Amino acid sequence: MIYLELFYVFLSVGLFTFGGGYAMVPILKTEVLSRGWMTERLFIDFISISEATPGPLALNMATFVGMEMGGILGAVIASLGMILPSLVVITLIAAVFKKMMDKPVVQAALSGIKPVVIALIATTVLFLLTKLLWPVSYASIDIRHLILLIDLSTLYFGYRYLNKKPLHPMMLILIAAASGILIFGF
Amino acid sequence: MKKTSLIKLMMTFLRIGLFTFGGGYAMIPLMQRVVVEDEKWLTYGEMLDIIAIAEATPGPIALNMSTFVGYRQRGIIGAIFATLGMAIPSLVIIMIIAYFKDSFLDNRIISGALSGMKVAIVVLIASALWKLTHLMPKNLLLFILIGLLAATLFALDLLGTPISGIFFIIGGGLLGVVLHALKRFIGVRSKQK
Repeated sequence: MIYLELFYVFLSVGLFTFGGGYAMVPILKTEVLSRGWMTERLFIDFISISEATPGPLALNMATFVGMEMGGILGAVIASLGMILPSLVVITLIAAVFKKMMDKPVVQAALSGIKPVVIALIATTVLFLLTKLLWPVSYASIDIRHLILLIDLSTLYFGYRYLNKKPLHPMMLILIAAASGILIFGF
Repeated sequence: MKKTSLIKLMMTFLRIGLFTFGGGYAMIPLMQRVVVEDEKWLTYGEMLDIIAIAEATPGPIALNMSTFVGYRQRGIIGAIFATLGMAIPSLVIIMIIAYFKDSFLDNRIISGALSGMKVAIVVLIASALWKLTHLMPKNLLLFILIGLLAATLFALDLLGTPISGIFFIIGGGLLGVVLHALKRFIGVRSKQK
């Protein structure tokens, strides 16, 4: 039955997705292609749309594949499968969080993990920046993205300099969307 | 302290879910603003702890964060509401798009808006990163190591051979435990003298 299968596939993908959505792409690809659910071409299209729409990548993919295979009910079931591991594992951790954080060994492990997290976030910033500014080749910089980047940084950091509270991130995203339509849309 | 209502919890994460574009880290600036600064459900330090824990546990980071905060506010039922709130925008938007699959990314207005938003996300994550670095111990060697690790990972990305971050997360955790054990061992030795 397709619903059970969807639930099982996304439950296992959710269970083995450590450290961000991109980690699950190869696992999910193998599962989906080996079951003959869709072509590789369609799967890649799904990834690019999932990247471009709100929400965690893994969850978007679950909804997409679920929808393709089992309609709305399939999408809901696949997403629930994806959510369940997070929900269970993190609820357990949250329940013992205070006690856990008092353990020296947990503190020691976290003190090693946190710098890695910082490095991973920095890598993401560098990578996104490169993809934006040099989309085709490193020989030519994308001027329109560069201008937008300078404008938005000036706005965001300038606003923070002038006001007590920084500009709301959602506001910056909306302004960026409107500017994007003006610059790239026509 | 006044109890946070389940609806408020859900709506808060629904808003965050709606504005999380392009991978889990995109929600860090939003969480920072909404959950830490506005609602004060977490401190900055707790947030970094939870990001570190979320990286080392299964599931997308954004979902892990919402589950954690939801549980903190209202127990298991709160965890469920917050996580569903985070998931609903994905679910609804993707369902709609699935109907218009082919035309969605070809639409110039939509793709223009998305291109613009990607630029905003980079600015926001960079700014959130700057804040998070202030939670690190002020240790030059540590920052040099972070820089080297980031440069290595970035170079591997550019070469088209990315390595999953989880190996470095595990490595970092082990290193932290080993250093801690060594420190205690040396401490015990010097006390005995």
